[in-house]
Amino acid sequence: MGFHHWHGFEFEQTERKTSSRVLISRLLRYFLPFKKHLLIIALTIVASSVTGVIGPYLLGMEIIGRYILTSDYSGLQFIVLAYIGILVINWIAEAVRTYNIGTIGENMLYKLRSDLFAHLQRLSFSFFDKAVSGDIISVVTNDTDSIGQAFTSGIVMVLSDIISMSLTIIIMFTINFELTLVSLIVVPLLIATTLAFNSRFRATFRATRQTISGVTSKLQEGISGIREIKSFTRETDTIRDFMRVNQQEFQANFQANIVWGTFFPTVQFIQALGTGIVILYGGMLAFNGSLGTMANAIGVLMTFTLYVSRFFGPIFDLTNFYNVVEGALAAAERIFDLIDKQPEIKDTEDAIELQSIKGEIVFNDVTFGYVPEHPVLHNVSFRIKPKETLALVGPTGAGKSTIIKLISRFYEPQSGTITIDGKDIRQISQKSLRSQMGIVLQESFLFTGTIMENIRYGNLEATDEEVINAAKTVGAHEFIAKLPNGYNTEIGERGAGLSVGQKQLISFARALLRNPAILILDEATSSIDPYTDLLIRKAMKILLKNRTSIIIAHRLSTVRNADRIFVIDNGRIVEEGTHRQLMRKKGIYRHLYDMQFREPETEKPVETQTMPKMFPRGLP
Amino acid sequence: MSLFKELFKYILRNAHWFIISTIVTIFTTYINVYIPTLSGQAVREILVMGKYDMLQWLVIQILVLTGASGLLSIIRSASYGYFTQKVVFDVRNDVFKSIQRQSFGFFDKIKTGQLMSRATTDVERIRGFLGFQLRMLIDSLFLLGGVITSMIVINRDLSLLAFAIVPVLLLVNVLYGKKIRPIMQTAREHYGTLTSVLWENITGIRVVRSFAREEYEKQKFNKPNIDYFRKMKESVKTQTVFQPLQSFIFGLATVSIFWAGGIQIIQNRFSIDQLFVFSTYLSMLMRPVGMLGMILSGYQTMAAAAERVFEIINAVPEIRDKPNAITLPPIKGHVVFENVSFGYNKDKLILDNINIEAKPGETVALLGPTGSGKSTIIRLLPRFYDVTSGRILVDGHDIRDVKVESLRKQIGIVSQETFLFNMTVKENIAYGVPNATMEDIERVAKIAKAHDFIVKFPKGYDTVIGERGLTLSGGQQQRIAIARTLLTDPRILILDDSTSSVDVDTEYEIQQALSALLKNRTTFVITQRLSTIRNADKIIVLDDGKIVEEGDHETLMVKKGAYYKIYETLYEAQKEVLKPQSEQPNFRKWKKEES
Repeated sequence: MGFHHWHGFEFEQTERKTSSRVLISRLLRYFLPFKKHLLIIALTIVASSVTGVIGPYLLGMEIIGRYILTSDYSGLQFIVLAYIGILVINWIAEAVRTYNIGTIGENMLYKLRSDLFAHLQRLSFSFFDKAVSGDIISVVTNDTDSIGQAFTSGIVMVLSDIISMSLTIIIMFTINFELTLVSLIVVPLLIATTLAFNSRFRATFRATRQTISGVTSKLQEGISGIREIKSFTRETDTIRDFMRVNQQEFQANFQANIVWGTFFPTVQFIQALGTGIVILYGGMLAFNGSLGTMANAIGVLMTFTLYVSRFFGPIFDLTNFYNVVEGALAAAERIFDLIDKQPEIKDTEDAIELQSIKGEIVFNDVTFGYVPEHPVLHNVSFRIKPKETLALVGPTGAGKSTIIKLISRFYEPQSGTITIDGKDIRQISQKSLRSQMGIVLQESFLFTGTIMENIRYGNLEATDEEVINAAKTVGAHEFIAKLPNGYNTEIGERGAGLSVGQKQLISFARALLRNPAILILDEATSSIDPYTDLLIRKAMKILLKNRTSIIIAHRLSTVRNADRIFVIDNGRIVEEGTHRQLMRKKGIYRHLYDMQFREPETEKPVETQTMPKMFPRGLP
Repeated sequence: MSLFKELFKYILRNAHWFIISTIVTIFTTYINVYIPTLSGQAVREILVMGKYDMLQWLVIQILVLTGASGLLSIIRSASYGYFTQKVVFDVRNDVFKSIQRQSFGFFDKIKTGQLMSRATTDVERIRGFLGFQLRMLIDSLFLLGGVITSMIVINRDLSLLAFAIVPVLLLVNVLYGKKIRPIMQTAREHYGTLTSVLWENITGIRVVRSFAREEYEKQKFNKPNIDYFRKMKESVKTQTVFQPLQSFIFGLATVSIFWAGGIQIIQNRFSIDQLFVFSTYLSMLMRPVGMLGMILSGYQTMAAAAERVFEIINAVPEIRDKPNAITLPPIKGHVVFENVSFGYNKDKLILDNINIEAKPGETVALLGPTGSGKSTIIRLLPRFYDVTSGRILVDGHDIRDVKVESLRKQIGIVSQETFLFNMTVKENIAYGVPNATMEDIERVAKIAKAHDFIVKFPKGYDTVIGERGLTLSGGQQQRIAIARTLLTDPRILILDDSTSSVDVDTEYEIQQALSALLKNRTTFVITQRLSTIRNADKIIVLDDGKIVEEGDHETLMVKKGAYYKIYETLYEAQKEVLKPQSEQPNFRKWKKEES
């Protein structure tokens, strides 16, 4: 009894900003397309409530009171058939209701999830910069679920509870006013008890949740840290620690057992009290003769005892309803908050579809800040010629990444314009713009799936052969071929199972397969093992060929081989030129270069003095 | 069956609580079956006897008995609850203990996620079964026994009618469980896919946007979404068929009893009060019967879960102390690998006849491409795995003959994938020596070049690291790990520095910390750092599990063999950070200055 209501306690109550009315009316909009179904549900709720409530009346008043006790044999046959008829109606109504509620619920949830996902695909980077991944996922999964539950087992159930309760009380009053009033004494008692226990249910539920998460995190630590635990031979202490949190978990669950274990007997006792009152008071009325004939009196008592025993269910549902609804509304608020987020970057209505381009990029007096008051780029202007390789260098936070994000139109400048082949990128559809670009990000993100699928992500139409060629070109083929299933090797979440360097090579192949006119590359800062490092350097050379390339450079080789170097500092281009020009200029670039001589003393003899001696011919 | 035996061991351990709760259940069941007869008596008093004075007495009796049964059932809940939670507590402790006992081969086979789900979800299923299904089963058995007997005693013919309908309900329930379970199972799987597609999309959103793959992603998401939707609709249909059927059958049973009973009453073979009692029993019968289907399916889920749990508990660690293992006395650090071969699987050798000798205080550098076996060598020394053939000697002791704990206590390991615990910096450094003084902790932190950044933390050494605490950079983590190892002052040191994922800013500090660590210890090191390699007493070049070259830097360079090639590659890769020979800016160092 009542265990399916557990989900009502899962929601921590937090302050809502949006009023319930607004949320409910917005939620209702999702149900509007199902008007017909809703009508059917309403009808079936009424039908099943009426037929459900009528049962005890027929059993007590009619079957017993009117026919059995008066020995009306044919009447009994008739009423039994009528009762079966009502059962059938109830059965059909329940079935139709279950089906329609389920259909609406699942349809709505499907739509809600699709909408949310599609909406997420539209939102701009600025949104994801601030959001926590886990929170977004929870909105699309948990929050939609709790709305579904609030609808299927919350609202519908409570509606039918209310109808049933009202009908019950009406029927009782029509049978006997006085007895009904007396019988209802237990109702406030039941409500008070349920409410009193309600807060304790929540407390115990919260405690079990907290303690289990304690157990989980100790467990996680005991597994992930196993190497350390064993190396430092700390097994015994670790076990003792674990047993401590496990003990708390035990306590919390035991506590929960006791709370629930006390609740049901208490309710049972109140119900017995109700029955007792009905019997005593009803018996008195029966002897008074106010219940009519003895047969009728027995019928009344039967009916009333049955009704009284049915009070508890609806009361429990109703008191719990608040939790369910509150949880669902909090979920709805989070869902609508997400849906209301507007993408900052939208295609204009007459956006151009970019065809093949030469790859000329011009920044014209561009100013931009993630927060408008704090510009990261100040009045930046430059022109990149088609097929030129441009290296951006400068300290962290100087604005290098911002420049490439603006070219990709992940953000839009506050002032100034960016053009590609003379067209303002704001006039170009985002899709066609990015179709011309190959973007390799610093952290190579790979998707779950085969290596083949991952490379093909760059160009969905590519044949297997083309994928393999791309891999060969960037030098990834060799290690891929060595993997147990070659190109069909499944890689885990975020590319688990591959080294950083290997992931990077695959992301190179992915970008190459796109054969982009403009290549944008944010070099990885984390160094990789020297063998892969060489491969990557070779791959870069190929990747940069024949296209406009903009690279945030961390490697010396990249910088030296670039056609032009921009030194970015504090959101401005402070120097530009080739490596040689900049060295000769003796400006910041040169200064930064010189700074390395401040290297700590101890390293010198090791690295500088032995080296020439060991390599008299001089290394490349 | 063996599964049941396993579980039974835990039940037996807490049997007293179980027995107490069962005895109490017998009493409550008896009372609960008795109470309806009192109500029946009340009906008879009114109707047949026409007396009112007995009524009060009967009502009081009913209330007292209900109260008594309530109190007993609270005792029952407490003792049974204690029993359930204690079994779960014991099982979970044993799972954890077993995990801590296992050697590394075990963790290669079972992934962290799987272990986690066995110790949480699967144990939860055992809890669910004991706490709900098994309790219901016990309740039901007693109740059914009591109720069925009473029904037969009251009216045999009506009982036969009732027992003809009840099995139909049981059948419906079992069928329902059978149909809905696989549907929900598949639905859950689809939902899992949906969540992971979503997760990947969000975490990889920048790639998605870069490649303008929004439409493709929508399709990718739509697949599990629609699969899940379809399965759920299927479950709705199944519910539509089965759920309302249950109340229909119950209603049918009730009205049949009233009908047949009514006829008997009219024929004067039965009485109204007995019909009242009988119908109460019927409704008492229905609930446990409705539950039986659930209990059955609950058992199956639990059995599968318990099997996975006991697989962990009963896993025998590959590496154990021999019965006559001695405690390794304080060592000097003389290490010998003698004809060592090893394979993670029996059919594929990773190491083939390896011979290495490291005298106390010597540094051995291991070089070779990925998969050459260098990491395996350093895993064998602390006995994370046992050699397949050959032996490893530490100060003349075969490491299999000494207590594992005494061996590992004298070996320090610093690896690239540093794991720090979710506790304070101080506790993390003192992990190997829990009773270390603050002085010692600060001393090693200073040597490891960690002190300076630690004191800048909001709470200094008392700052909590990890999940809900402070996040450290890779370089900071590594230096704390070095301090942690320094504190244990091991005679043998293992250093895995194969891929330096450390941010360039701290490269130099780490190098310094490492050289402090290496001093005066027998060291096995995997590294790309030229300075470390050159200064090593012995360089071992591995390829495909075999030693291909061996000697010090000078000797090997002259040979112009494998080592020379590797060195050249490393040099080529690292020259950016070395002192430049010509006009080359050094951006790594530059970055360091900036930060």
